[in-house]
Amino acid sequence: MEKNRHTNSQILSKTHFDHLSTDEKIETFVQAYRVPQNRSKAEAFQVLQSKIEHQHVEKPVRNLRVYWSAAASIALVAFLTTLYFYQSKPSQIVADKGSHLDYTLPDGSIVNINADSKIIFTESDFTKKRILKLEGEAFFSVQKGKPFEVETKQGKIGVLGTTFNVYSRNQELIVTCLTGKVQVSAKQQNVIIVAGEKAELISGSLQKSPNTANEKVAGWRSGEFHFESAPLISIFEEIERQFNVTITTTGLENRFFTGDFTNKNLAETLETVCLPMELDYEITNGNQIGIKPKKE
Amino acid sequence: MKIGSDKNQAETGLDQVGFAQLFDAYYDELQHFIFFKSGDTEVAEDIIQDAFLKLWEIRSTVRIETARALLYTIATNLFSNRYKRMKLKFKLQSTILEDRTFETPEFEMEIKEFDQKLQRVLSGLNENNRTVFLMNRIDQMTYNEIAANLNLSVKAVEKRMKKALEHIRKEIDQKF
Repeated sequence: MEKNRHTNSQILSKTHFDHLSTDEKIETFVQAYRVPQNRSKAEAFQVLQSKIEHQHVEKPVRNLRVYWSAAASIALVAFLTTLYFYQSKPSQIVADKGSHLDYTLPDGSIVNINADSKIIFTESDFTKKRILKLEGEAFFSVQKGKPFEVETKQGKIGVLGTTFNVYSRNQELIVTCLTGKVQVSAKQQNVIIVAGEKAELISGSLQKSPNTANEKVAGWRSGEFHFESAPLISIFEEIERQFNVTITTTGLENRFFTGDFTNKNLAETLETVCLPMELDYEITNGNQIGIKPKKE
Repeated sequence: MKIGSDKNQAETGLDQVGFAQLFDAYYDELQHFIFFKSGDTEVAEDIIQDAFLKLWEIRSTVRIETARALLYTIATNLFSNRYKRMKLKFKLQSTILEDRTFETPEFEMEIKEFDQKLQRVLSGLNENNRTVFLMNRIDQMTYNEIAANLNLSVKAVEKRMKKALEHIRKEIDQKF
């Protein structure tokens, strides 16, 4: 901004000044003028920012005045409000423990909801903007169209038209993409995964990795479960959900399991997991199960 | 799905970064611009605050390439609406007089008188002529730049420059 200006110091010697023409005197003085500033540019920017922030707070107050005139037709407003709340009542689609649920959304997209999971959406809003909430695990086959968003406790998944699986339980978030392209956002991080990739939230950081068992990820829909170095405790939590039983475990921390099981037969499933992991299980009252490591 | 913001040239709308960049690039010259009109630092700073505030409000419709001229337009309007008839008294900072010792006290007087005289003449100049003249002489903007910023033709800028110079020359010669 500031450009070099040559102010000849000689100009201000008396003899020199007297020899200058009027024009030269004017130019010399004018070009040496600076515009005074009360505050620096940086200070001015700070002031501006605080004004902008204030505006955000004031805005709704100002808008109220506009709505005030509309409030004259109170009956109409009341009617519309009732209608609005009736229409915008959120729907909850819940799959209980021990059951799966297939559901077709208003746009034709299909959701397979795993045991002990639910989706929540508002029908009137969904037709405008395809957004829904998910707690638990679900598999989505999304119809092509406007952006489709899944919100979970740990992060957001955005897609156009694809098939993908979302596992969102406890602190864990695993999104697996089967076809198309999926954007996952969590903890201010963004990753895009394509078919054959998964995004996983590992201790607060969102990581992308190839998915080695692509066809098995959504196998739970046909009752087949596949786990890859998953915490052993989460395996038993999955069994609890699939068979609607209560499992108490001791001494399983920091152990991991890779393998498959089905949700057809409880005893068979327990065998499948316990045998390779050297665990003992005991079923009491039909739905209480105790698990502990085998004694040497 | 749109990720991040790829800066497309023809893109409409300013984000916070773009807004801050505009502020950084044009704050000084705009503050000068209103000062050239008003001769008042405080007025200039207030007007430019409000001009940027206005720009922020309409940021979704602003294109970065046209933002500079738009800021000049907003500032001009804010100023002419608020301070239609203001009595002017210029107080430009005269760097030529700073940190200087003069040969004689008489010469110092003579120089300071010339400075005051010149500032008075500038104050009495037609607002538009003065503004264009000082943008060129103090901020060293080219005629093309001034024309683009103020939505004028280069011819009009030349005309204003000529009028400003003639007026200053005449006034200084007369009384000095």
